[in-house]
Amino acid sequence: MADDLIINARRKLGWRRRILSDVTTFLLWVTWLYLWMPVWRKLRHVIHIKLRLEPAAVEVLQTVDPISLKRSLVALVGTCALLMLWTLLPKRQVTHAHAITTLDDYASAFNLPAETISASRHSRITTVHCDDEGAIIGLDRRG
Amino acid sequence: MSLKWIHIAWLTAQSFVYHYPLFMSYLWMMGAALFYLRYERDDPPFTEPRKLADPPPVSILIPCFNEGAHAEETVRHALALDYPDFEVITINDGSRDDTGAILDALVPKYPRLRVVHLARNQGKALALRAGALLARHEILLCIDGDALLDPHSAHWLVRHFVENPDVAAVTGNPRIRNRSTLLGRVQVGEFSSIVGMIKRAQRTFGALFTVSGVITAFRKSAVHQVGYWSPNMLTEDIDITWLLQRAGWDVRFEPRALVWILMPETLRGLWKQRLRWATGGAQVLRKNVGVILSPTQNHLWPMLFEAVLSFLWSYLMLAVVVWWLLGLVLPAHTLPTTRSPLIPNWGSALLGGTCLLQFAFSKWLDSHYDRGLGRNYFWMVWYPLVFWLITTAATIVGYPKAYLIGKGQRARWTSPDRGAHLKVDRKKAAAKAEDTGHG
Repeated sequence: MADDLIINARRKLGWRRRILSDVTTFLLWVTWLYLWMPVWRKLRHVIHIKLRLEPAAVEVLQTVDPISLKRSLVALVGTCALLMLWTLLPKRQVTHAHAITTLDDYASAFNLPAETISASRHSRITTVHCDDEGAIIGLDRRG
Repeated sequence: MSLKWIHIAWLTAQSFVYHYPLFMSYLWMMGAALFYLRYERDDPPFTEPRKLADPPPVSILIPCFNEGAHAEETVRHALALDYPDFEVITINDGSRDDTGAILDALVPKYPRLRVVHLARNQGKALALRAGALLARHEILLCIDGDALLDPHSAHWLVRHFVENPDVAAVTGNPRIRNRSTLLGRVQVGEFSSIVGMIKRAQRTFGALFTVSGVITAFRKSAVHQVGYWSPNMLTEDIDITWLLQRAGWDVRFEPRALVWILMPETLRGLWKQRLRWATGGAQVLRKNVGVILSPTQNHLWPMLFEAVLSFLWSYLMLAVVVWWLLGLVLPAHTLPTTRSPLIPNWGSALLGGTCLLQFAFSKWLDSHYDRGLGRNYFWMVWYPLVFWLITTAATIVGYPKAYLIGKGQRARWTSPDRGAHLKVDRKKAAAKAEDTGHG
């Protein structure tokens, strides 16, 4: 079913527009990969001098971000754990969750006769009239 | 001395601008991974939901404003729902096009369909309120006037209400239909990696910032208790989420409940939509900032904190950009130098890389529900560059705008464009009409 719902009208767009978006997206990928050149160079260097994997990885990551990886991980896992523990704190619970609002409750809240609401709920077409504040002031049944 | 502190504060601000999105991205990924392990992994495929023993009846509410082009398709999909007992209520919110006539004509054909006309346009919040009042059933499934409901979605949503009486709302997983242009394709990825992933993570961490207005099931009594959708909020979905959670109700995310939606495919439409989201978010933040003084609302504090940090990040980003631009025009050494936050360097390559990693992970998560997401990955390289800027700019403009809008002013809005395919089809239809003399 999902395949029928997806709209891909790309071929209906002009060829100039299609080429422009394809080429600029490709160039953006090339630029983005180029930005990683310092990391690739460092990686090539540590491979060349046959450094052990762990110090090599640290060396490369230091190139990317000067903040220590260990500290970043502690902060991340710590925040995640703290947020999950936070959900265990006592908090406001809903009262009367089992109570269902009755027709009379609706009639009272909307200031409309319960019979009118009930009849409109069984009507196929209803017109709702509101005042300037948006409050419902009338229900007209048509079918 | 004071200059030294200003310098330290400035360096801290620059570090925050860089590290905050990086940190949040990994936090969202961890939260989403935990959600997957806890709630998603062991369930059957979304096309085979476990049948409920005693499924409660459902009222599907579809507010429509000038939806003549989509109303019939939306109604037909809603009526094709695979669920034992339901009614479909379309609410024509004083449309100026032929929506009302189209809906009325459908009534004799479909026994489950009902139509509610608002005599005058009142906005989505009041349309939903009228629909809720006239709905016969306790569970309301609300979708937009151009959204196509997956036939299995009701089963997935309703099970949460049956499991737990404290559940007031369950939001589903919107999937984008129009994938013709660059903007459309980037948004497909965005809805997985930003919307879907953040909702998964927020559910893991206890509370949702917002339900998706395009697909959410509500417990009618809960909505009645909190006073319904607010007509003054630009984003009534964010507002109702906070109202329900503040009252102690549980709000959940169900990734298997799908709805197929149309998104803007022009920059103008996208900007209009994002500005409304940012302004609406700011309105809700302003309304709910007081929860910080209420210890019983502690479950909402992390979300409030995150919203404030995001707001702060956007303005600091603006400050860094302005500082950098001033540094270009002022004589050398007038200001401490700063790198451009807009022109990428290898530090921002890491940020971009993290963003692409987030996309890859979210695509894997959502590939259970939406096939072919991998093919879309090529386009996602635009997201860190362009979409972040649009979202940041929308936040910068949206927050002051929220304060300028009066508190009591009624929020009315129309949907932005719904994709390039409609524009192309309209052009073709106009050309055809000209050819045949019906123009």
